[in-house]
Amino acid sequence: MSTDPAFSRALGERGWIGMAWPKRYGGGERSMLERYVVVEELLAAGAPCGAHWVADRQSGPLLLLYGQEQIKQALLPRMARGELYFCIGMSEPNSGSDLASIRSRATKNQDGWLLNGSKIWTSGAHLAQYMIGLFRTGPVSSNRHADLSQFLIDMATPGISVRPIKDLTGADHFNEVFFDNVRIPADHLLGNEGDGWNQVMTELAFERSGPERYLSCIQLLIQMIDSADRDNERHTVAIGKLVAEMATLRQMSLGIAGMLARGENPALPAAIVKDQGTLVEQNLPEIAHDLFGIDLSSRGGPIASVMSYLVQAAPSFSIRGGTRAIVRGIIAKGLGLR
Amino acid sequence: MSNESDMIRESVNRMFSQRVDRQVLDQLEAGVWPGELWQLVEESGFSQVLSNESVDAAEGWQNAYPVFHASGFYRLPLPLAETIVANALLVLAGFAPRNGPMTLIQQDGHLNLHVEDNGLVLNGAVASIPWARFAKHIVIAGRVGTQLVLGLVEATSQGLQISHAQNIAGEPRDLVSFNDTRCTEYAGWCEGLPDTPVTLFCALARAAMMVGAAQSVLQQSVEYANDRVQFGKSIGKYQATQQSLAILAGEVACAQTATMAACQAATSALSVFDVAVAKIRAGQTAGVVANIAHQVHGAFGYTHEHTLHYATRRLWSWRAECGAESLWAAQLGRQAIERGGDKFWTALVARAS
Repeated sequence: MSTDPAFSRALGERGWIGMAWPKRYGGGERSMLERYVVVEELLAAGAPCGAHWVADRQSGPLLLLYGQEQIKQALLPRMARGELYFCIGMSEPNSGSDLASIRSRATKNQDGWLLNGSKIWTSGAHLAQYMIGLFRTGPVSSNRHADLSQFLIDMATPGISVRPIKDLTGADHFNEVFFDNVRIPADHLLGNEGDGWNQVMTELAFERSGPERYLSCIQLLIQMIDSADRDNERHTVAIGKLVAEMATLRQMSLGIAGMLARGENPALPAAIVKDQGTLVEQNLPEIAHDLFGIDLSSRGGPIASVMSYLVQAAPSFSIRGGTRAIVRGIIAKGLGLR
Repeated sequence: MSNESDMIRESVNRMFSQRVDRQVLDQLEAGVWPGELWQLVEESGFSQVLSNESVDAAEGWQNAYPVFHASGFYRLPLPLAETIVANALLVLAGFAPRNGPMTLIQQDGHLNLHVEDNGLVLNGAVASIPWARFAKHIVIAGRVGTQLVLGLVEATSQGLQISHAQNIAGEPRDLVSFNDTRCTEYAGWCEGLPDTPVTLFCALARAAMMVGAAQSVLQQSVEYANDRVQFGKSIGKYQATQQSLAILAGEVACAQTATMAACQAATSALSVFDVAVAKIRAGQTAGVVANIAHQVHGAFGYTHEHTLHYATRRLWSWRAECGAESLWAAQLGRQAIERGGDKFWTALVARAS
């Protein structure tokens, strides 16, 4: 998703960031379903929401749940105005799918915490003013999920350095972030010390439950529809099946928005939508190739340019926010496989 | 779903779980009509779940969904879905619902309808008609000239012949031929109702039955994976098995969502878009589910003694009935292409066809 801070501020002004947050923190006190409608339309239109997306989707809700009052008052209204952007500090060079094995450490001192270590694959770290990061606050014990804690980190704090990592397309959107004796205040601990694992699972449920898990490829489908011949049965059947997939995924995604609105935990259905959504999205460039054999030259038309981007971006869909293997593990656990 | 549909779900599942066993399933495959079971089902009122005039049309499909679902889940060896839809169409055409098992025919190129002496007369033959040999009445939807009509034929009518055939699950799928056969009654089909009501209604009923059957396969597969021990632990502990069953569960969730959405949004007219999505999605699920379940069950699941095949052979049959995925997809695809890419999203949100 492309990034445009001016667009984010305009959305904030319109009241379309933090829609479901309390008014006293700059939110709109709208329902989760109303928020869903706006988010879905933004994605369907391909709007450049990259700057504020994480803040709106997961950091804001997380701060509402676990942030101290003075922090919520200071940050949430600016997030809702589209001025403050967040990044997510979870993965580390040696801890990807095995998130509980992280080694970056937060040590308590007299005026707060001292952070050391590094995070990787951090999307937007070069733009975000804040990170919410997971750090180890105790020894590596037999219970690997204990002694992890979440922190709010001002990215301007001395000792933080951000190194861009080019992705396979050559674009800079994710980074490695280094922490070298970074001092942060005591009230920047989110929730309780040692509760980080459960909090991160809550955060990931927000991350995995949105409609972006099936709408990343919609621009390609639109181009495919315009390139198709209504009298060619190969075209009509393939497009029709994709319409059915999209209609189904949208209905499931809407169901999750309903669960969030009722205060239910959508972790399992969200994992299912993510798995099924990424399968469809990754299949879309394959079907486009099969139907139209699109030449991916830079002089091609609109479908070639969308296709060139998506065919390269598609592998990331089932990696970001939890790999396919991890997501299916969550589903298997939900099924009661012992 | 409403309280009433919850009550229906509870009672239909209770009855089928107690009464549909492998003995009655095997008897059907040997050609024996499960008359006692039919009696019980009919007395319960399930066959009129879509034709009960005290129920608002918009709620009819919500109440019918659990009955279709349970018919698939327990592999009910009766034409209950066909009788439910036949009764619904009779009531929509202004007739009273009937007692006894029924089936339906959507006119195709092999069947001719004409009116003679104020009666509807049928000539021709139609293949793969479900349960025809056991039906007391047959409902026929078609055209006389440009006029859409719905007719009712009694099993004992003159010129009606049925020759037996079955799908791979052993369910009757007969060839029905008519030679100047007169309908006992017929009526013009109202404007605003679908052109091919038998195909449309039966497709949604089949989709719901496939969801039920797929869910029973998922349940059986998870139980088997937890019970079966190899290399010292249950195979459900191996990541490869877990990943396969996660795909199976995802497929079932998609089919269920699409089908329930169509039932929840249904009025007496049914949305062609919703039904197409449900039938396509459930049909795709059928193949994946059967494939993974058999892999998980290994050689045991491939035996006739195991019960898995009662569901998987039905799934393979049902996905091809009432319009295979490609037939419905061609319709949806053509509409989407004619509408144009810039209208795709708004049409999807409106679920418009």
